[in-house]
Amino acid sequence: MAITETKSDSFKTRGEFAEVLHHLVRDPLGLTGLIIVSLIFTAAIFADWIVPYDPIALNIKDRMQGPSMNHLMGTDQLGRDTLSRVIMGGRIALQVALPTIGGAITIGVLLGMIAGFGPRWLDNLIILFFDTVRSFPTVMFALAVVALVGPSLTTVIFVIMMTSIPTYGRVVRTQTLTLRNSEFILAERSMGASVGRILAVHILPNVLGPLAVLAAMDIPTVVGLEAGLSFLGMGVKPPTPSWGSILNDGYSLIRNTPWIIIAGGVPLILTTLGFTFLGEALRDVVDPKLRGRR
Amino acid sequence: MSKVNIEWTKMPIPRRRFLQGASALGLAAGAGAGFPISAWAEGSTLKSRTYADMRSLDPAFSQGVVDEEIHAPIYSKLIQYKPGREWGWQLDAAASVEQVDETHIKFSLRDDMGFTNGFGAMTAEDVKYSFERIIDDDLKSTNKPDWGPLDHVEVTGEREGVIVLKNAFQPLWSITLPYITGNIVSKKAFEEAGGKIETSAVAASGPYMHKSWEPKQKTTLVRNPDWKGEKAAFDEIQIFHIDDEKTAEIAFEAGELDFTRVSLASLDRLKSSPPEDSTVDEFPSLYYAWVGMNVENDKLKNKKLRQAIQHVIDVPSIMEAAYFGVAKPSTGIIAPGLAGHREASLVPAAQDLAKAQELLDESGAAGTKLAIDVLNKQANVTAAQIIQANLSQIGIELEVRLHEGATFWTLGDKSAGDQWKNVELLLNRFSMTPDPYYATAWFTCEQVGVWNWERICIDEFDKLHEAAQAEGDAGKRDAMYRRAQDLMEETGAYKFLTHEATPVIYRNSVKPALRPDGLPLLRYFAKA
Amino acid sequence: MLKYVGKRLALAAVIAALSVTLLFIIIHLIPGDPARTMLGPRATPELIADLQLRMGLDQPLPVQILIFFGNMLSGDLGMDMFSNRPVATIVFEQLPHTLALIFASIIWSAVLGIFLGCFSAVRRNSLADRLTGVLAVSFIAAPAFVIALYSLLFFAVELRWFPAIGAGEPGDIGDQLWHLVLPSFAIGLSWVGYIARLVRASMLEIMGEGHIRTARAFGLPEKWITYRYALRLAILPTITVIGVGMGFLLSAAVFAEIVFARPGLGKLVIDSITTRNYPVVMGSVLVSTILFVASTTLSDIVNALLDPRIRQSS
Repeated sequence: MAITETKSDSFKTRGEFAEVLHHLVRDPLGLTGLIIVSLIFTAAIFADWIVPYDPIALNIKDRMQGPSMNHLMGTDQLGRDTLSRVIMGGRIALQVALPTIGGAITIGVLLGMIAGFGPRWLDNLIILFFDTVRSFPTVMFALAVVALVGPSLTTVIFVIMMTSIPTYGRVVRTQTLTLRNSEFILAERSMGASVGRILAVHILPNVLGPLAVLAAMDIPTVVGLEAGLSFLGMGVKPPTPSWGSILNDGYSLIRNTPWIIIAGGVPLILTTLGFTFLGEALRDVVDPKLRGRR
Repeated sequence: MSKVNIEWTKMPIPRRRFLQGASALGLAAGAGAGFPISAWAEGSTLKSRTYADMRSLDPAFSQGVVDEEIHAPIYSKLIQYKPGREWGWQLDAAASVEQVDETHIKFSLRDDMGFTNGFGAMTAEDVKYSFERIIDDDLKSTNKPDWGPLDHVEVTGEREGVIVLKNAFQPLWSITLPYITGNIVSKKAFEEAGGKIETSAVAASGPYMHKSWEPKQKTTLVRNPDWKGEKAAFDEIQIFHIDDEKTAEIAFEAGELDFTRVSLASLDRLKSSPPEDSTVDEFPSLYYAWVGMNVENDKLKNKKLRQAIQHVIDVPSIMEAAYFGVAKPSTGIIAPGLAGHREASLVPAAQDLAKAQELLDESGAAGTKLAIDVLNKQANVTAAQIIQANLSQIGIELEVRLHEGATFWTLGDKSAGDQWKNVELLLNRFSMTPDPYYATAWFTCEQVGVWNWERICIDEFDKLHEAAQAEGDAGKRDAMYRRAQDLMEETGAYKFLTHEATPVIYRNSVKPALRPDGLPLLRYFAKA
Repeated sequence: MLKYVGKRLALAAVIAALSVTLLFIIIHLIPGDPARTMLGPRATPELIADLQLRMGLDQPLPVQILIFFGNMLSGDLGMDMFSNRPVATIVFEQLPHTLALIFASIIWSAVLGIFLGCFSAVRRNSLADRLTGVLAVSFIAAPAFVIALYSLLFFAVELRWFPAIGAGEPGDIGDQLWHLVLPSFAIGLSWVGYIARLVRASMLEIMGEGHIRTARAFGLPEKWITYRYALRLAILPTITVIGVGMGFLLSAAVFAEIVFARPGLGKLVIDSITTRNYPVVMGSVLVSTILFVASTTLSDIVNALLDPRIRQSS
């Protein structure tokens, strides 16, 4: 969060950012979330050093084992260590989630500001676009696109990004609309400040707080979607481990061993919990008014 | 459907037994008495399962085994497959069938065969109509190739006729007559329906008749009350359309099925602890899976590289991990039990790393990056990952490209643009009927860019394929098909994987009648 | 009010048309030939060409779209060339399964949500309230397909309490409901937290209000008051779930239908996308989209009726 120079009223200084952190840590929910999220990031970043085995190395004679001292979460049908695959899968999850959300926020902010500040017809057009994108069930849209260009991480990122744009765009638009007619903006305008300047200096900093909350809450959705697509064989390519492809292996072998499904699902649930707790706590700090919205 | 008005003779004469011709399989002549069905009961239902939904009730538009499983109980044929562990046929609607010479097959019909819904007795005209409509260009039957060189059917009497071929055709006895194209329909009924039917039946000629179809769920057959042959064993047969084998197993264990194929993954578990009152049995399968290489691809033009890949792929580990140790490595495209099966392949199934490395060094293609196209199914994806690991042992990086069915089946298709040029390695699997001609048919020069995606074109192979389908001498025919597979393998473009396996499970209250490859012949199922 | 309803309906129609057109374009850019898939390995090139002609695949894309919308307005969604049956028939065969699934999951989330919400509100700021709050958040976050897999694993495969697959015997309502329990639970769980929160917040708001105090003064039992109001309060959030959540519910239904091998719209879409069965893909997505847009619009209108403030602001 690199907000250095701003005249507006949110996140003014580094000190305030530290205060947010302070609030987070004091809230047990926020603290739990923060710990889980840090663990996930640490595991993903240092995955190469943490994994007990090469996550793609085959060992066919040890296939489909239950948990043991050698393999804490057992092995899959190719004898690969499930724990190592789960850890590596965390990296994939974040590799998808971060650029997806980054991209969606960027485009969402742009479109939202244009909609909020631009002429009425443009606003209507953008809203129509948002509503249209939101109106097909995400998974069906994703399936169609993946079938079009073939399964890959890039495709997954693109698809999920497209479907997340409206979420951010709408929030930014609302905020922009509210601020647009506020006295200090009107004053700035009358003093001849350019629209670009107003947007960048006054409006952007004001929407960052809500956006951060939304982003934290959105990460689980994105991670879940990636896993879902990989579960359907439309995400990562083998042998890359993803939580979804681990779950898919586990589903195929559900009558042989339950451990693969268990191991593939737990990190997804943890990620979801961690980010949601964090997002909830962040919301209480940043904008108590938003409480109760999904 | 309910109105029944049958005029055919009510004078059943004992079925004569005829031993005519040889079945094309090189086995002892396979004709014999009908499968004895003594046990039957009123109020009984057989619940079976197919992996896909029914497409059509018209044999001309039958889509392979799925539709045939439904057609076989409701339409009679001159001859039927004989249930058992060895391929053979037995008489059905025919009282006799006799191969007069290479191109003439004389038949006479039983006089107690007829059609439901008042369409009367089965005559030689019906046989003529049923067979000739398949090769009629206007009808556009997808099954035309199976009728091979049929010229016409000559009607010589009310219930007698001669099938006239353009040239000798051995698969007649193993595919054409006892399978999809052998179904006999009522000429009158079909003509009244406009020459073809869709998903509602017009007249049955078998022990069962079609009752209802619930799309994506099940097809129900009921006992044909007018059937004069040996009484059908069940009042009703329900055929559930369940694509996933795991799902089918769960359904079986819940008592919702009496017979189903099960997954290879579950075989061990089911064998060691079978559900109550049920039996697990294993049959070989005719399918053939292999790794193919596109010889016209820029990278794979290099024969030594192809041979290195042949030697580095370790089929035994694929059998272990992708086929759960249930299937065995294959030696070619023709399964054991059929003419032309090879005892051993030229390239051993197991990996020979030293040899592979040596070939790779000679090829000068070290460090090549390749891709394998794979249909998105668990066994294939697992196998592809082993091949990926195998190739990495000689420093070849292999990308696994997953495809859905619709995309996969157009990859090598020349009519779909230039994409065939990008095909490198392919994990492929073809279905098969019990005659070797059906295997070699897809690898000829004419098939390049149609189904021959390795794009191998060998003159000698094509000649062998042509000659072998007419060859009457079983020994010679066998040698021809073996040679044909040697030729394929020598190109370096094929690594044969497996014929898979067909594990089945059935309730002990049912006596299943299965083909040697484990597929059900529902009309012969009985009560135990 | 009428003007508002009219505007919403018009907008809904535009959105539905746009998204279907967009999907039509996307689908037609996908490589893969439905004619070939349909005819199978025995097909000759002539047969394939002939079928493409019959399927209208030789027409330019805009013409295909226009034809599609033209037919649609007359209630004709085209023919499924695979089975030669009308697409409308196929889609409406599957639709009830999905609707039942979604409806059952809304019931799950309403029942559990109201219970949790009341529980929290009555014991506000206690440890139990905090824990329930955490639980509610966790439910919101749980990915439906993981819940589906876990409940399949534990309740169907291991414990065998519920059937694992299918939609049950046609005509046997009890059996069909029995088959609905697990899949709808998996989908509904995510919305439990949402409803629980809204119920809790409204409860707290209202419990301080005059008429509750009056009720108390008349000596009505505390629980009776609580639950009566809770039920009334829960109506709005439940309706909102139908509106806001239809897209999510449909997406989750896709997974639930796959995991539990249930027939339904989601499974139909996946099957038809993988076989490039264009007419069926279009038909089923069209119906899903209309379902979504209609439920959003309806829930907006109902909300506006119940809460005049919304009407003013839009």
